[in-house]
Amino acid sequence: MSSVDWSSLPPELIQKISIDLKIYADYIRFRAVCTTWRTSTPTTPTHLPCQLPWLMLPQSRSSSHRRAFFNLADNKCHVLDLPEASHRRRHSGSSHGWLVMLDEYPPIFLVNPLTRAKIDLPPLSTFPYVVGFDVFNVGREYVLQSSDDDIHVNYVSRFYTCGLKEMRDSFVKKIVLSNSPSGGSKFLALAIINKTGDLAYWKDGLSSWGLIEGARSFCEDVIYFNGLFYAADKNGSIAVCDVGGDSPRVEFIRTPGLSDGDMQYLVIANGELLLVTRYLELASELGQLQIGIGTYETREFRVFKLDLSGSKWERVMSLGDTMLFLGENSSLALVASDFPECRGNRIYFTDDFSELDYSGFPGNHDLGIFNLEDGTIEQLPCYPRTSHSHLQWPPPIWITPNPC
Amino acid sequence: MIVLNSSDGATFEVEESVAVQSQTIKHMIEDNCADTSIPLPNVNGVTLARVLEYIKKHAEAKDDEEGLKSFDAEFVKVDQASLFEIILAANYLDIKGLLDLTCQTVADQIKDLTVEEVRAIFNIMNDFTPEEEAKLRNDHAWAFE
Repeated sequence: MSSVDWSSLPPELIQKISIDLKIYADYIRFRAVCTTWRTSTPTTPTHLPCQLPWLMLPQSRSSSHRRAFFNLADNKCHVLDLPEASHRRRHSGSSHGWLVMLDEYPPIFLVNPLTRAKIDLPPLSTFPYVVGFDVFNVGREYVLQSSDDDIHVNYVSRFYTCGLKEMRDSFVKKIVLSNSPSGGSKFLALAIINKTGDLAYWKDGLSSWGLIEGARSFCEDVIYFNGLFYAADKNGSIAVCDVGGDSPRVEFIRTPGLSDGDMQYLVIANGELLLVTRYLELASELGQLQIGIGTYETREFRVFKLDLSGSKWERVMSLGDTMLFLGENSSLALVASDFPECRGNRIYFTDDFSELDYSGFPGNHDLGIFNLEDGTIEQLPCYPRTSHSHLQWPPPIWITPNPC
Repeated sequence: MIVLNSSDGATFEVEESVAVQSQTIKHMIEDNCADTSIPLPNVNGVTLARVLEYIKKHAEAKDDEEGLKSFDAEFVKVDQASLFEIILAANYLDIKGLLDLTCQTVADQIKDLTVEEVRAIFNIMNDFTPEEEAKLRNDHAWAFE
């Protein structure tokens, strides 16, 4: 037992030690030790690197204002008050610690589960192809316009309608932010429109979402890096979108078609763009009546990076110390040795294709930990696969806790 | 050679090129306050000896990154009271490398501990009122589970 008084350290040294704490929970506990340690450190830390994502679990029926978040670091579920995510809201992306929330009604907003801060984005009714919204047209509240292509090539009618739930669940696939909007920071947002495979963007000053011309079909995944949005199509070609200027500009990285994957993800790891292909197979659930829906499960992932010429994807067999978090969230890469409970060369993945509400149907969510070394898939501790699981809605999503 | 006097009267000789790793000593030399010896009333003999061990090693093995890393790792294996004194000395003498090393060591000790464990190891009294403590735990309840 030491006989010195650590609470009497000069404030600047107390603060210096606190800045060496890189895990948010450690920082919070540091500030709870004694009054000097508390007053010498800012309430909101600004030095923290990207935190290990939590898995936000589906709504529990009993308590819809509270949501559980599973923490890989201590295998515990933390419960937070989050009425903003309750009711009939669906999340459509999680970026830099903020959830993108869609409702049955047009408003779209961002919410930070830790701080409960909320930021509004232009509503769903301001998206490209949406020409009207009338709450009294029950079942056909939204009026949409088909694209010229569809009209001339597929002979669909110019206008069609869409109900509230369908619009909420299947119009937008994912929204990605350029940076955290905390503290009033300016940011850009990019949305993948499911219906047409187009990309739409928003930036400060606009009151509606704009269409990015020429980027149709680059709708597998989007990631932001160094001022640009990179979007992938099914074959691995990339559309590089610059929405900073007066009107969006798009350039392309055309790559020879990749083979037969089911879904593509883009992620920035160590300053490099990676393409990750997800392979699904139809799950066979023993002894269960499937009511016309097949449940899919992931078989494997393959990782690619651009070769030196920058025009072809080459296979990456090992991620080394890097781990990826993929799903409906903005794809994320972290270094495993920064987080003692995690291991590198792995992909932590969640369900990313159950757009519609399958809650109550028997089946397991498609999530787990893929090991690149041996191709095996390990279950997530909070989601053991059992034969009596039921799907829940909305499915789990990764979110990085961001205290700012 | 520079002569340093600790608070409790111990005397140490050290080469000027080594001593100037301490910005405080460096400025004293530049300001010509170092005619005979430099008084360091804020550092006791035992601690000053340890600090000198650090700066001597870092001067002579400057380019041996691996060697310095293992030296540093061993250097901080001291009791809490000594660590406390070394931090204060490194701060007063303005030796960046030593201050960074010792502060990181404390942070590494604190990682993953509960608040009660930190208080026990660092001999700190809980001086929050019950209301204050309840509020701060409630604000981030999840970190205290």
